[in-house]
Amino acid sequence: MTRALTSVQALGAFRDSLVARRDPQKPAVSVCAGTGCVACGALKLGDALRQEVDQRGLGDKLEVRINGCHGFCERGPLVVCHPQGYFYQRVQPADVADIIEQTVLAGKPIERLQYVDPVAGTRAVRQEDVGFYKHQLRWLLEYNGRIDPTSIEDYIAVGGYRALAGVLGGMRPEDVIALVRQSGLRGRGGGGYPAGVKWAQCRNAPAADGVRYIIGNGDEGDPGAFMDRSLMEGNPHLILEGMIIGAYAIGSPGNPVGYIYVRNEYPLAVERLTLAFQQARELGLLGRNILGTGFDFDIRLNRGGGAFVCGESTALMASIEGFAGQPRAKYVHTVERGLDNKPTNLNNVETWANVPLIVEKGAAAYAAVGTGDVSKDPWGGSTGTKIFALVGKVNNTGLVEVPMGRTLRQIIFDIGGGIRDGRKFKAVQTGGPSGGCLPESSLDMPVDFDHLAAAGSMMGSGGMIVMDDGTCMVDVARYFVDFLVEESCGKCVPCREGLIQMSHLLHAVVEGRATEATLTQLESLSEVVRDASLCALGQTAPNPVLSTLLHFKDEYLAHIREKRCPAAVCQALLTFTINEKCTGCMVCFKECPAKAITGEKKKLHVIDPAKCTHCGVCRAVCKLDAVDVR
Amino acid sequence: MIVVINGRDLHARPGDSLLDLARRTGIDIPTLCHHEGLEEWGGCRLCLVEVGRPGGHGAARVVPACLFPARDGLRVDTDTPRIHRLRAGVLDLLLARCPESDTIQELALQYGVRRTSFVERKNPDKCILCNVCVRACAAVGANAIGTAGRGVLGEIALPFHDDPAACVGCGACALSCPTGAIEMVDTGFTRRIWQRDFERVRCSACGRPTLTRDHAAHLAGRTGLSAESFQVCDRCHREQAGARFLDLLGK
Ligand SMILES: Cc1cc2nc3c(=O)[nH]c(=O)nc-3n(C[C@H](O)[C@H](O)[C@H](O)COP(=O)(O)O)c2cc1C
Ligand code: SF4
Ligand code: SF4
Ligand code: SF4
Ligand code: FES
Ligand code: FES
Repeated sequence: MTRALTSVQALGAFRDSLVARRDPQKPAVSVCAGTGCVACGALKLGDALRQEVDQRGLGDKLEVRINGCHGFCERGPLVVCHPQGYFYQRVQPADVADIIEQTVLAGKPIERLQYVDPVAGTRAVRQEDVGFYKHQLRWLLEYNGRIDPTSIEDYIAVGGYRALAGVLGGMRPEDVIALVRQSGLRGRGGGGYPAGVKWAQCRNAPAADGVRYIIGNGDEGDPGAFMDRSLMEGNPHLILEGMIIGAYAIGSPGNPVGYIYVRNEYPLAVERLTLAFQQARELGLLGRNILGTGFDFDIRLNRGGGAFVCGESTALMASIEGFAGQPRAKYVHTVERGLDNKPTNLNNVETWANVPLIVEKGAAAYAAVGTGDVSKDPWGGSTGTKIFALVGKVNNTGLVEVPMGRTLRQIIFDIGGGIRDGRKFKAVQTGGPSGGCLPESSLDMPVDFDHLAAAGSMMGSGGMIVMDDGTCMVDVARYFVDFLVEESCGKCVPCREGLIQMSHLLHAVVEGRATEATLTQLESLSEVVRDASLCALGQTAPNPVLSTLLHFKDEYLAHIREKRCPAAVCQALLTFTINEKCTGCMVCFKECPAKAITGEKKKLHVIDPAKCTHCGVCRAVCKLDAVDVR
Repeated sequence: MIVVINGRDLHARPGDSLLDLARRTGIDIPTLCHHEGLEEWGGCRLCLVEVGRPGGHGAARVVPACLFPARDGLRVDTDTPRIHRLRAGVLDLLLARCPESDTIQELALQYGVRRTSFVERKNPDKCILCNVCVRACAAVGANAIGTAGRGVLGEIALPFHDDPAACVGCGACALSCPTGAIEMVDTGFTRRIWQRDFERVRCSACGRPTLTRDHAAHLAGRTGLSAESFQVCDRCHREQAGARFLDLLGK
C-alpha cells in the first residue's frame, strides 16, 4: 500500500498517477456482484471469467472488475464490457468463452446476451440504450458499475476524495454548512429534514466538552428495500467521504469519532465498510491529521439490533449506548442531546453519499435538479436525486435513481416497463411498511417529499411497491399492519395495543365478519394510534389503512356488504364453481379435503358451497381450468 | 417562567415538566407509567396534553405532560375534546388488555368507557407493561426483572423467566405497580414474591416482621452500614427518629 498522503496536493498527485497508469482503452469486463446478481450466480460467473483469463494468459491485457449492484437486478447477472460499453444480461459461466473471444479480443457485441425491450422489441447495445436506465439520473449509483468497491484506488481514480480535499484545503466549516443548506439536500432516511439545517443546529448546540457525534444510519429495516445496502456494498467510500466532510463542518474537537450503524443482516456491507475505513486510514484520509491539515476524525462501525425500530433515531442511539433498541421520547432534539446526551447529528447513509456530490457540483447545480425553490427556504422543495427500490408487479424491478419530481407514471411505466403479464396498474405503495397506497389518479403526481406527504403517503427511505389489479387492497392493509404488529417495540400503549386491535378489525373484514361500524372503528382507532404513539413507527402505522380507506373504500364495502373480495384474494370470501370445461376426470373430487365435490366419471362435477372451505385445492389440481373462483 | 395551562398563568420552576407544574397547582392529569422518583418512561400516553406551536401557528401538538419540559410562554390545554378522545381510546385499548384490573376500569369509566369496544385478550392479566416495576427494581439497585419478548408479546419477567437470584424481596415492584399485577404474599416472617420465599427479619424495636434478610444485606452492601442498622421497621424508625428529635429540642 502507498504511503499516507500528507497534503491536499499529494492526493491530487496520487490521483494523477493512478489515472496515468490506467489505459481507458484497455479492455475490462465489469461483473455485477450485488445481492441480486449473486443470487443468480454472479460469483460463479466471476470465477469462470478469471479462470478463462488465466488459462489464455490474458492477465495483463484484460481487467476483470467485480462491482456492487448495477440496479437492474431483474436481469442479472449483468456484465458490461469496456471500452465499448457493451451491456450483457442474464450471463452464465457458459458465455465466458464467447465474451473473451468475440467481445474482448474481436471487439464485437454478442447479440444473444443483449437486452431486448419486451414491448418495443428493440435491442440495446449499451447500458444507456436500455429503457430501464435511459430515464434515470444516476448521480450516486453510476459509480457502482465503474469501481471495485474493495479498491480505494478505483474510487480515487474516478475523482473520489476530491471533494474532501477541496473542503479541507479551503473552506470554513460554516461555508460547508451554508453550501449544504443552499443545495436543498433533505434527509433520505425518513422525514426529509433539511440536512444543512440539522448540521447547523448541531454545530451551534453547546458542547461543554467539545464532543459532538456524527452518525450514519445504515439500518435499512424496510422489507424489500435495498438502496442503502447497495450503496454500502457498492461504494462505501462515497458514504465515508460524506461523513468526513460532515464531521469537519459540524466539529467535534473533544472526541473526533463518529459511528456508522449497519443492519445486522448485511455482513457484506460490514465487510466492505470496514475495509474502506482501513484503506482510508492507511492513506491518511481518516484518523489523525487528515491530509496533513490537522483535522482529526475516525469512525466506528456498529451492527444493528436486528429490529425494524432500531433504525429510528433515538432507538439507534440507545442501541449504540448498549441499551435495548427502543425509542425514547425526547423533547429536546437529538442535535442538542442525543448519543450519551451529547449533540448528535444523525443522517441516513444515502444523505451522506450526496454530500461529496454537492461539494463537487456546487449548491446551485445540485439544486437545479428537483422540485420547488430552495434558494431561500430549505423546506421549499426537494432537490437532487432519490434512489428507489422498485419492486412488485412491474416488468423491470431493481434500484432506480431519478431526479426528485419525476412522476410515478414515469418511474413505473418508463423505467419499470409497466405492469407485468399485461395486467392493469392498481396502486403503488411508497415509503416502506407504514407508507400509504396511492391509486391510479396519483400517477401523474411528482414524486418528492411534500407531494407524497400531501397525498397521505411518504418518501420514507424509498421503497416503492407496485400492485396490479389482482391485488386486494384490504388484504394489503392487513399485511402491513400485521408486519407492524410484529415490529412494534411495545413501549407505548397506542402502538402496542392499537395495532393488534387494528389487525383484528382488518382480519374481520377480509374474513367477511365485519360490518360498516368496523370501518368507523378503524378510522377512530387510527387517530388514536397516529396521535398518541410515542415514536414515528406508531405515528405512521395507520397510513396503509387510512390511505386504502380513502382511495379504495369500495373494496372494503364489497367485503362487508356483499361478502365478496373483488380481486378474488381473500380466501374466506371466495366462491368456487365448476364450469362446462369439466370432463369429469374426478381429480378434484379425490383431492378436495372437505369432500365438498360431487360428480361421476365423465360428468360435470359440482361443488357444495356449504361444505367448501375455500382452500383452492380443486382449482390448483384441475388441468382443464374448469374451476372458477369469484 | 410562566406557562399558561387551561388559560391560567402558572409559575414554573426550572426543570419542571408540565406534569410537575400541573400537579403542584392542582390540575388533574391522569398517569399510569409515571412514578415519583423514577425516571420518566412515556409509554402509557395517558398524560397527553395539547401544546400550542411556537408563535401560535398551526394546529396544537399532542405531547405527554410527564416528559414535556415547561417553557416560558407555552400554552397548554389538558382537557380538550381531542385529548379526551385520545385518553378514552388509550383506556379502551388497555381495558381490552386488562379487563379485570380495577385501576383501569375506574380510569376508563371516568372517560366514559364502560366496556371495551375491542377484542379482549385471550389470557388477560393485569400488567399494562408500564415498566414502573422494572424502573423501581433498578432504582433499588437489584435489576432483578426486565421485559422479555417484544411488542404485544412482551411481559415482565425474571431473567430466563425463572431465575430470581438477583431479587432481594424488597417488594418495591409490587408496591409501585399501578394495577397490582405482581403477586407478593407476606405470611408471618415469610414473604413470597417472584417464585421465591424470603425470610423477613424481626424489627429490633417492636419485634414485628420488617424487611427481608436479603434486602437488609443488599442495603448494607450499598451503604457500607451494618445489616443490623436496617433491622428496624419503618414505623419504629420514625418513632425513634421523632424521639431523638424531641431529645434534641430538650423536651
Ligand atoms: C420505525 C423507524 C425506522 C427507521 N429506520 C430507518 C432506517 O433504517 N434508516 C434510516 O436512515 N432512517 C430510519 N428511520 C428514520 C430515522 O429516525 C431518522 O429520521 C433518519 O435516520 C435521519 O436521517 P436523514 O435526516 O438523513 O433522513 C426510521 C424511523 C422510524 C420511525
Ligand atoms: S410507537 Fe411503537 S415502536 Fe414506537 S415506542 Fe411506541 S410501541 Fe415502540
Ligand atoms: S422484590 Fe425483587 S424484583 Fe421486586 S423490586 Fe425488589 S428486588 Fe426487584
Ligand atoms: S407489573 Fe405492574 S408495574 Fe410492572 S409493568 Fe406491569 S403494570 Fe407496570
Ligand atoms: S445485484 Fe446486479 S444489478 Fe442489482
Ligand atoms: S405518565 Fe406520561 S406517558 Fe405515562
